[in-house]
Formats: sequence, C-alpha cells, structure tokens
Amino acid sequence: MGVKITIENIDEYITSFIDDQQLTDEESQRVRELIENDEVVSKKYKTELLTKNLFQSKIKPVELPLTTFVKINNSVDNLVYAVLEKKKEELTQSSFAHEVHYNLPFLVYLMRLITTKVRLRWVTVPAYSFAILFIVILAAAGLFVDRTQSPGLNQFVTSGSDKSVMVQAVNNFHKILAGEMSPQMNSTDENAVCSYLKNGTRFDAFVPCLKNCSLKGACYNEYNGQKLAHIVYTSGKDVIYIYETHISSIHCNNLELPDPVHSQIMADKYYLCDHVDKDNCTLMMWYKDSILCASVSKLSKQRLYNTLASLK
Amino acid sequence: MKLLYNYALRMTGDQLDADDLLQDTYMRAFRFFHKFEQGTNCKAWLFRIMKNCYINKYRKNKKEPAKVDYEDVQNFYDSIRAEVVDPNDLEHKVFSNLLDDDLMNALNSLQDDYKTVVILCDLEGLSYEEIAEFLDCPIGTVRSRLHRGRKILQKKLTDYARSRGYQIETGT
Repeated sequence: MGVKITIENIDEYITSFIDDQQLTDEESQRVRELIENDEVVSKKYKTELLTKNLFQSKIKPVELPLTTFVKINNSVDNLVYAVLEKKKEELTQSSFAHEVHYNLPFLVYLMRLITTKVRLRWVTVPAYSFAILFIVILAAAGLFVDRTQSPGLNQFVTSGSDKSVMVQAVNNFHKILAGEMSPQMNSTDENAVCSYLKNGTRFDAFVPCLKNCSLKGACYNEYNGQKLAHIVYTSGKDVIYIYETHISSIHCNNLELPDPVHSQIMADKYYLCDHVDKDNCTLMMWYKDSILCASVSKLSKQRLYNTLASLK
Repeated sequence: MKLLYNYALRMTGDQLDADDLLQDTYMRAFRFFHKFEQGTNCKAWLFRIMKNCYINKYRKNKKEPAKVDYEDVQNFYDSIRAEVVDPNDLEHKVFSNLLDDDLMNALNSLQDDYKTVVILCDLEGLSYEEIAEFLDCPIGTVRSRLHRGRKILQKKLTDYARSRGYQIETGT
C-alpha cells in the first residue's frame, strides 16, 4: 500500500491483519511487530479479534429451508411457464398469419404432397409411400401385441407403505367413492372451505376454483402427528379428490414420498400417472408453495391434467 | 442461494421477510437476466439485486438504525475510536455473559452499510475483494467499514455488560 504503518494509522491495518487480507508480507510483519511491542496496539488487536470470533462462533449460517427453495423454484417455474405460453401464443398467431398469407388451395397442396418424389439410391419413390409403410408396420405389430396384458400398475402405489402419501391419497379416494369418507364441511365456497381447513390443519390449504367442476366440501384429520386436508369436487358424474399436507411432513418422515416422484415434480412441476391401481385411477401431484398436493380421480390423464393445469 | 438467504435473514431479522426478499431477488434476476453481462460475477450481480430490493422494500419501512444519518455514525465512531478495553475484561466480563439476543440486537443496531460488511466478512467468510465486488465499492471502503462496524459492536456489547452491573475499564 506504500504508506508507512505507525501506531497512529494502524487501526485498519489491524483489521486486515486479523482477516489476512490485502496486506503485503512487509506490512504484515510491521503490524506484527507493533502488536508485540506496543501495549495499546496489542489490546486493539486482541479486542477486535475477540469481537470477530464471538460473532463467528455464536451466529452460525442457517440452512436454506426446503419450503423456501420449493417456493422460489415454483415461482421461477411459473414465470418461465408464463413466458413460454406467451411465446407459444405469439408463434401460433404469426404462423396463422403466415398461413393466411401463403396458403395454397387445398387441392394444389394435396397434389404436391402426392406427386413429390424422394430419391433412395437408385430408386425414386413417392413421399407418401413412407406413411403407408409406417401404417403397415404398425398394423403388423398390432397382431403380435398381447391384448390381454393390462398396463403395468404404479409400483409406488402398489408396493408403497401406509405412510406413503400416494397410497393414502388413492385409498382415501376409494373411501370417498364408497361413502366411507365424506366431507365434514359441505360448501361450494372456496374461501369458506379454505378458512375451515386453515383452522383445522394450521397450514394454508390450497382450495382452487376448478373449471367445469363443483366444490362439494372438505374435511381434515391427522396421521402420524401430521395434519391432512381432503377436498372433494365433482365434474358431472366424476369425482376429483385432492389430498394435501404440509411439506414438512415429508421432511420429518411422518409421511413418505418416493424420491423419483419428488424429483419429477421438481423437474416438470408435476407428477402424473394413470392406471395407478386396478381401478384405473389417475394420480397427479404437485407442490403449491409449502403444500404437497395429490389429486386422484377416474378422469383420464389428459382430462385431469387439463382440469388442474390452469392452477396458479 | 444459501448465502443470499443468510444475508436476507440477517438484514430483515425475520424468516418470512427473508423468504420474500429472496423470492423477489430471484424473480427480478430472471426478468432482467438479459442485462447480466456474460462472464461477470453472477453471485455479485444477484447480491446487488437483493441489496436494491432490500433498500426499496424493507429499509423504507424499518426504523433505526437504517435511517441514521451517516454523519451521525461517523461522529459516534470518532467518539469511541480512541477507547481501548482490556481484552481480559472483554472476554471474561462481557462476552462470556452475553446472551445470543444481545449479539443479534447489537448486530441489528448497526447501520446497514456496516452491518452488510460484518455479515459478509465475519459470518459468511467472504474476502474483501468479493465484498467490494458485491457492493461495487473500493476494497479500502470495505476494510474501513469492517473496522468501524466491529468497533461499534464492541462498544455496544460493552455497554450492555455495563448496564448489567459489570465494571469494565476503558483507556485511551
């Protein structure tokens, strides 16, 4: 630094010396000499060092809470999703504009499609021949597929333990269908149901407004010390059930969520699987802030996804 | 994210506020990522966003010490600069009898600029160079604020101990 270090100007050099920052070897040596030979400088050094060490030892870094990480991850995902949707809409509109401007008469387009030829080494074949070949292959494969074999069931549901969120959600859905489990609060008002659940579960249950669905009501209970919320909707004759628990229940091992499912939710924003059991139920799971949600229904994968996909 | 979270927690003093501040930071970072210069320090960039979010949202609503005039802090430091406490007194009478709350109160009472460098250096272990990049200020300023911040903390903790009846001598 070029400045001669003396007792008068040593204060900030002591700070650098304590942190081992920004001092040359000569400057460090000079500071060390002053600390050893001057009582006041020595006291300044020791008191500042004590102060630094005290705070370092008493105030430890805090681990980032999982709920915070999930919340931020979901917020950024939602932002990304919104941007992508907007881009998609812009592209669709521009494609439409392009199509309107450059649209060929349909018959002309069809003729071009049929008559275009593709050269394969020595042979030139019409482009549509590939499509025909593909259809033939599919039909042939269909003859050899064992139609009696049912699609594999979800292993996390079929072999999960009683603590599994997935197993509980599917079992509760069947209890609802069988009339063994019914809402304690019957209401079509999302806000009222939300307040009811908040009082009972002490977490902010998520009670969405689902398109083309009617909210029937909700109930709550406790499992392994963990509060659970249960919300029921109908869509025509179909029932949609949503099971909710605070994410800390997984963190504390009071409930279980398989790691691959958690990873998929984090990667894709949701987990979706049909044919989870022999009754062909569909299961969809996602995080909403600090809440883990699991929805079960007999709706098809596509229909359940469409119903729940517009959630914020 | 852990570094940013800890900084947010120490500055706001509240976990919910820290969560919100961290979320605001990442949302702004995403929205303005096109302004980030490739090849520069992304951590420092995120930190500056957080600092600005904190100033815009939280400092306005907070009471002392954020609103303390910088000159007042300077005058206070000048008045205590020459005081020297016996290290043995400091260790045995002051520091060993303090509660964690006293430490947090002392830290929270620092003016934001001093508090920031103390948090980043003493609690997060960053170098002066990194801190200077985060704060976009000279390294000398970092060192100066750090020295003064520690001195003010020492003074406050000594005063806490005195208020509890401990006799602590200071010389000049």
